Amino acid sequence: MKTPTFIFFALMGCMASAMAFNAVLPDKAAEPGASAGPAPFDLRDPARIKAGMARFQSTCADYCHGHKPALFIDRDGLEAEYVFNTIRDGGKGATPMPPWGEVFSQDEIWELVAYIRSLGKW
Amino acid sequence: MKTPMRPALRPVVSALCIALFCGSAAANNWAEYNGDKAGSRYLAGGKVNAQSVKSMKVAWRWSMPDNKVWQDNAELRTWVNQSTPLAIDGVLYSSSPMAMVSAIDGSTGKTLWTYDPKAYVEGTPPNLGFISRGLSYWADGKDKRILVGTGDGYLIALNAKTGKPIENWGDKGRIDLTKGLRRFVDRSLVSLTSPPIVCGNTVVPSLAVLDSFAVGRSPMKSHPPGDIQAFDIRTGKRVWHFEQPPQEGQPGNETWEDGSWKTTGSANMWARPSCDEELGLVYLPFSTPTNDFYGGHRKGNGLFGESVVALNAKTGKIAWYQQIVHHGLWDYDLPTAPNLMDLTVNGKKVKALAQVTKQGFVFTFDRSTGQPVWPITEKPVPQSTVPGERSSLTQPFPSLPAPFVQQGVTEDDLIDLTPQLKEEAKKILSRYNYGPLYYPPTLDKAGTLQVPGVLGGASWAGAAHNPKTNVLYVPSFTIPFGIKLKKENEGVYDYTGTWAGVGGPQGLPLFKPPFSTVTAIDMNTGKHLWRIPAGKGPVDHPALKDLKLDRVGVPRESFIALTDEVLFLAPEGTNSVIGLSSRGNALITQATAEEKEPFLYAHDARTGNLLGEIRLPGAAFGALMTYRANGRQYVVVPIGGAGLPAELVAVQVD
Repeated sequence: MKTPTFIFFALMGCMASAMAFNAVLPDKAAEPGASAGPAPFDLRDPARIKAGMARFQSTCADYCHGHKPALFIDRDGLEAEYVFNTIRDGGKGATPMPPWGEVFSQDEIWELVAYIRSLGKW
Repeated sequence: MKTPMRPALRPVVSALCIALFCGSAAANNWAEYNGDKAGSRYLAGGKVNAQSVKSMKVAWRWSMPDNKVWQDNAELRTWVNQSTPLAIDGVLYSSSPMAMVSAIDGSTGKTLWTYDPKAYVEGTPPNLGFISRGLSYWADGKDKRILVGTGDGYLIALNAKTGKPIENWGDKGRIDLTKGLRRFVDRSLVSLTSPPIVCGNTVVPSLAVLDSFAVGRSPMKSHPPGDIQAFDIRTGKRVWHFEQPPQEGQPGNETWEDGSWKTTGSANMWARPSCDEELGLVYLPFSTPTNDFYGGHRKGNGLFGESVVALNAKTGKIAWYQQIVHHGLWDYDLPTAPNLMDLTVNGKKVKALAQVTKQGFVFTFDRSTGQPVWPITEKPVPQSTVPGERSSLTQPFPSLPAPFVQQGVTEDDLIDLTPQLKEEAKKILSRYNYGPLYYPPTLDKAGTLQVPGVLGGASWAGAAHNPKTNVLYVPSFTIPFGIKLKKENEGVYDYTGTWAGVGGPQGLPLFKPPFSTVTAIDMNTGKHLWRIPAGKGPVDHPALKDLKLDRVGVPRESFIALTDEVLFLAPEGTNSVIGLSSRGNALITQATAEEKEPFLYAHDARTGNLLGEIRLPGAAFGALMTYRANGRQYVVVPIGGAGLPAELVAVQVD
């Protein structure tokens, strides 16, 4: 379950700086290797795409995929579940891409998938 | 009739001419990658001033010869173009990402000759792929040579006039740097990206080694070591071999526990060293041992990882050393050649060395003895909680100069230009563990928010120094990185690092502006003189445009070159990862074609005020240089690469 925004900000406002190390995070996405299942919402939803873009810019863009990610613009042949799993579990092999399954909820990862899909042709 | 000079005056005038380069051709040259062997990035004299830089114009553009190679073979795409030329008596000598070497007419940009070492035949070099940051020049009478390092591990000596290899040097003009080390070295794991330095009669090459945590290849315990090999400049014969880590019986070996000195790799010197030929010392800036973010297998301080080491250039014997980071866990490699300078501190003359660092410090030492110019204190730092890790209890903190960039993270550091941006930034921050400088890498959440990030702070762009004023100009930027360790179930390490650059809300940076700066420091006193944003930055962003901000700095590193009155500055362009090389050893990227701020700026070297600017045909990706030819002065900017044509752009500045 996603933490309601007002609770999040209320908690953040009350926390001493030391407590901020343990700030409230959304529920974890599924464990690595688990099936992603179908997207829980329409990946063409503009609001979801916008939310995914904001998340992409803060976590994926700087010094990696870029704010105009050439890897995904006009890309075809990707599958939604593969993209979801890669974001959740991190890059396969020895690539430096971190896993985000511990940080983002399922919905938040799917929003990233929605944004990446909106850039491509798949 | 000319008045003959009185004999008694001749030595005085000669000395002055040496000091001021009295109209000689040498006065117009940029004879070393960093301007000189002291790493100054400075050219004295000339007519460049506040007025002349108001009418800067592009004089010529030069297309690099390897553009055709990668355009014909997509497998061989290069990294961004970081190749900065030398200028010798009106001729420019340039490398290219694939280490092709060309001589160019300095007035017209016309190619005189090109040498192709075919360093691309076996595929892409490690880490960031094809990079050649520049060349070295050496002359003895009519014997004039160009030295280039290649992406496939060779050091090559060329005849500067013809571009042909020096047949009686090394093995028919080249030396294989993968040979002669203590263990087999896989050629795909090493690359010569920085030009070597010639110190006296000794040439000392740098060697980049795959950061195995980072790209493609699974980490190896027996990684290429950080050894330095030095060679006779005339013959190419090896004259000494400095072993890194130090082997049994050598000083520093005791700082590697459980025999970890036998297998630990990297701790290499990928940046260029500096040299004081009068003292006969070469100053080596070393990097982090493997792997960059976890050291449970290499307990101890790990000399000479992340250390400045002064070696006798003739013998390779240690004169002194200072470790900048103990038991490194942050990839805080020493990223650039130390700046050598002759200071007057509290009335006392000091031959000094200043090392700028990724973590935002300037460490200043007496370069004869290694003693700190200002006190350096060991202070307690946060400790790692990762199983098997034993982080250093303390790290060295210099008392002067003050840090030139944000260090560590508090909520007060977050961008707060609008209340909404601040709230969104707090949410991003909550994903990470964070704390003061040297907060160690972590396993949970999105890892540790590392500030400065792995790229700096100061970076490979280095710092410029005016030896007449002893002002040091340090470009820096604040791009945090998230460092998250992951447990390895296979392979040789218990943990390896993953990383990602961390942005802020709405595509803006996470922390308060300025997002990048140049800090001017009076090195006689250690005090900051001024600090300016490096470039305009995203002031026109929809969330900021109503604030009517002036300049906040481009959130990238900046390249600089210095004259007596003007500091030239060019913010770096951007590129995005599109995959791994087919060899699995390097990141492959696409440079941004429509860059937001592809500018060369001219600032008043005394005040930092902006004097002039010119829009370039592409953003800078390599170090700047400046030279004079035919009575005009130029600043040269490397642009392109990574899917765009690699070029040099010469801007006339007087």
